[in-house]
Amino acid sequence: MNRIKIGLLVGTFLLFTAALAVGKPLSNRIANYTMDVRLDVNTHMLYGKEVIRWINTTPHPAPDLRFHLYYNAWQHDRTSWLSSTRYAARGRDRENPDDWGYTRVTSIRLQGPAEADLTQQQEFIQPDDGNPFDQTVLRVVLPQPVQPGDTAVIEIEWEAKIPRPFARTGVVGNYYFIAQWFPKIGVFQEDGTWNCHQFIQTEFFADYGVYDVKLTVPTGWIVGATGTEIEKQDNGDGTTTHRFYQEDVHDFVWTTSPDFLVFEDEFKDPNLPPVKIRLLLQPYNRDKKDRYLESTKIALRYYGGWFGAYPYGHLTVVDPAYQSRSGGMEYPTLFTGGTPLFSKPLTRQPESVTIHECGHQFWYGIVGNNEFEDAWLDEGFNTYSQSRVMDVALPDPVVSRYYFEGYLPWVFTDIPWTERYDGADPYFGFESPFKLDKMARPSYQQGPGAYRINAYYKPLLMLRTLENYLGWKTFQKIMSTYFDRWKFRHPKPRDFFDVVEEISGQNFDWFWEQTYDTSTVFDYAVDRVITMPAVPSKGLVPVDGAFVPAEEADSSLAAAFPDYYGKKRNLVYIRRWGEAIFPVEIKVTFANGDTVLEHWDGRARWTRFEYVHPSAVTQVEVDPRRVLVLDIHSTNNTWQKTSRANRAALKWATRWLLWLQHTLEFLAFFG
Amino acid sequence: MISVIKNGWHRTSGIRRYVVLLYVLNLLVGVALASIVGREIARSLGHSLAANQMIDSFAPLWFQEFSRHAEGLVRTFHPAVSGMGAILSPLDALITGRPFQAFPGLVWLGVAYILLWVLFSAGAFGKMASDTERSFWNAVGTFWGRFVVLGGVFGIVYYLILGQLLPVLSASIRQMTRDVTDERIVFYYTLGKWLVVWLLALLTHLAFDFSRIAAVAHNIRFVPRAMLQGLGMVFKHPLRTLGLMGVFLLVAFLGMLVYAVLAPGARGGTMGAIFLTFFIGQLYLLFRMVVRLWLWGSEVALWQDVHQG
Repeated sequence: MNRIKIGLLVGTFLLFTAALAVGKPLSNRIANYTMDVRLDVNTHMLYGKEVIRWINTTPHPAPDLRFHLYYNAWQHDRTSWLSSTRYAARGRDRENPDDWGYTRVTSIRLQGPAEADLTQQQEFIQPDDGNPFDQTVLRVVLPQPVQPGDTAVIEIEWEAKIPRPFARTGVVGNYYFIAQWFPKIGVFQEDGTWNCHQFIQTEFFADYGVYDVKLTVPTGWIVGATGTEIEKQDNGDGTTTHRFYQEDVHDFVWTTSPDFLVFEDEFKDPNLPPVKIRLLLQPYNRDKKDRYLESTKIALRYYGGWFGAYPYGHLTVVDPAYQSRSGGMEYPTLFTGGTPLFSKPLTRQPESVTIHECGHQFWYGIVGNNEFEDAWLDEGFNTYSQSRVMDVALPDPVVSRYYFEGYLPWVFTDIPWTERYDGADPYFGFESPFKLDKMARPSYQQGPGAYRINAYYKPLLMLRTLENYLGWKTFQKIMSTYFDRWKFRHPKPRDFFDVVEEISGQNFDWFWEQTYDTSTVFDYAVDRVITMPAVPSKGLVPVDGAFVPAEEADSSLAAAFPDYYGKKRNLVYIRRWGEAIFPVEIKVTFANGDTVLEHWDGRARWTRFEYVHPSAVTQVEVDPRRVLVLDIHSTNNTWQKTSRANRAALKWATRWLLWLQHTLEFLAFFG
Repeated sequence: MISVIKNGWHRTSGIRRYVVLLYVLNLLVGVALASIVGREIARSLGHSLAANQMIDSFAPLWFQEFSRHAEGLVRTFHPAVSGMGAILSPLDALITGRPFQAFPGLVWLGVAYILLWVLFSAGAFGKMASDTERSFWNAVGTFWGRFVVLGGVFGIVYYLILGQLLPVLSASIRQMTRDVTDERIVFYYTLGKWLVVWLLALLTHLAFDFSRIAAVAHNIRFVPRAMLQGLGMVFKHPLRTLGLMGVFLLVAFLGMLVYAVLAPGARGGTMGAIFLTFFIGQLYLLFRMVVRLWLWGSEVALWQDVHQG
């Protein structure tokens, strides 16, 4: 009876909390947009009106408002984006004025009780680099600060010239991909300062909110956008207005073209909520339909199972138009893939990019870190997760090449290839790419070549190393806890570090210092192996008070040193070439098949292991389980007594010989 | 056509020993350079277990490290040199107008190899097309000067086609398709570009061959006259000359398909497997050389068929 009562009580409590939960927003909805936008396909212009309801959730008053005008990054070649080390070359192919773009705010007004026209208060500021030519951040000083807890309602009218695609947004032919396109409010932080960076070389950061957007495009054109289409109205003037709505996202993107093929499918999994998938495909990629859809489902299944469920119930996948440069990018509830015209399944195109960009729904979309400053928290996490998914769900990678301007894909099915996580980025000795910069430097300030390394590959290897060190079970718990704790919020690196230490119960400061705070590298190696008889075999040996030649002292040595006689003395030297320190295992194999597994804290510059053993050491492996995939030089991790390099070289030099002979023979065409 | 091809085969058999000589030269140059690459591979692998992977199939992690350090000739080493990659990679370079791009030293080596073939062609055509009975070396001595000049002139034509026209067409296609969003259209344009360029290149090839045949058959010392006769042959008999070329391109293509099936890939590190790879590769290379000479023999037969009968 008591059990029944308790059960009823628990049931009532659960129902009550569930009822409370219904309707509770997923995010704190700080920045909410209502937009009405018209696309003019003749002039490539956008005319928009937006109303932003912005809540000051900090304990500080906001004396001004700051907005991103990303399209101004493509006004000319002296903007900060086009002057950055990463993108400086991108403006060179712009042949006419129509290729450039801009945003102009024509009116900005504060609504509500404090109604005011702020149009004349606009000023462009350059908080990051002082570049006077850059107009990607707009500041408006308010007549009265927005007090903590208050909501500011801002009405903005603007127009934007759509450029030939830069950074995934723009127009080519009749394909429009419109991203980072509207005046977007920055993030007002807990310390009372604005986080509203110029658009330089990284991606984006914004608060979550609700987007209710009307898009007017030519009638008959297909539209894909963040959210779901809740209304469509033919305006009778050759245009149609599509209304899209989405809650709890931090951005809004859309695309339109008359050419898309539309396919719909549904992701179903017994342990995860269903997701309706809408695929907008280029007609010439019809044969990739199933590959796109299957890859999307793979990502939803594994990311959802490992980290946390995809909450939105719908997802739009866009196959980007040829030369639109809009491929391979993530936006809330929509992402773009990309594939060559002719693509064999083992080339992993479009599978790889699809899984990656779909994965960003989790690491970027749901966990919304600051991409300007900590790009590795989304790109690195996602590249790590993607690599894990591809390990589990796709065939092993093999070498593939595209010949004849990319139109003949050729898969070398018998040549294994490696994903980046198998080892550090290609070894470059003293000039390792890992030394280009440290991960801790804000992403928008990373030096030449360093952004990609520190946003993608090094964090991938860092997370892989942690997974290998802690085991998948613990690491999966870390990742899912971090995901759950920080979904619809803005974590910083320390927040992830805290979760790692909390779940693992270990202090990892030594690891963050070496991998995140500095640019040191790991490199452990087998230095040398020396084998000798365990008892003297040459020289003079003292026997019964006299010295006799070792060769004649066999029986005496056997009697005096039974633990050594007939055995080998093996000395194995292991070296730490890198500055960074990590505990490693060393596996030593003897000629008779015996193996020994040693554990070394890896601190000293070198260490020695000595074995008196019936057999000689024939093989040594440092880190045989490849825990430390951050090790920048894997070849020196192993040693075998009998080198097989000559056989390997003969085999591959023979193949290279054939290549050279045929190369010469093709040249003989001219003879 | 069949009798011409038969006749061509008969003529080719008369110079088979010289084909072997040319093949041996190709092999010797190849082995000398391959030994450099092999030595670097062996040095880099050292006592590492990566060598075992390389014997079984391939060691991608080792390769990433190796390729970062590789310089000059050794930079050309890539796992895609195995199997059909050995054919597709240089064929791709040729078709797309970058025949010398493989490595910096290839320009001089390639030019020397082309020159060797030009000299060889003096002996081959001299023996196959001359009215008078000549030894191979006598023919080389007699015709090499004219052939080198012809080679220079046609080399310029090839350069104009592949080095100038092809990039211009590529740039034009890029310009014309700047706003095209359907990749198939660009693909068709690209096919058209290759068709135009390679039709011109093949016509040039035929004109070069028939100019040499004319120089030998009529013992023409004045190179422009030989060229006129060669061009005349091609343009007066386009169907027969291009048809003959087409037949041999088909034979070469079929041979390539057979090699694609037989070509050993990356697996197999026993001495037997290494030898088999070498053996099949050399057989195919010899096949290619023989087909080239058979084409020459058939062109001579066609020339004589046209001019004598």
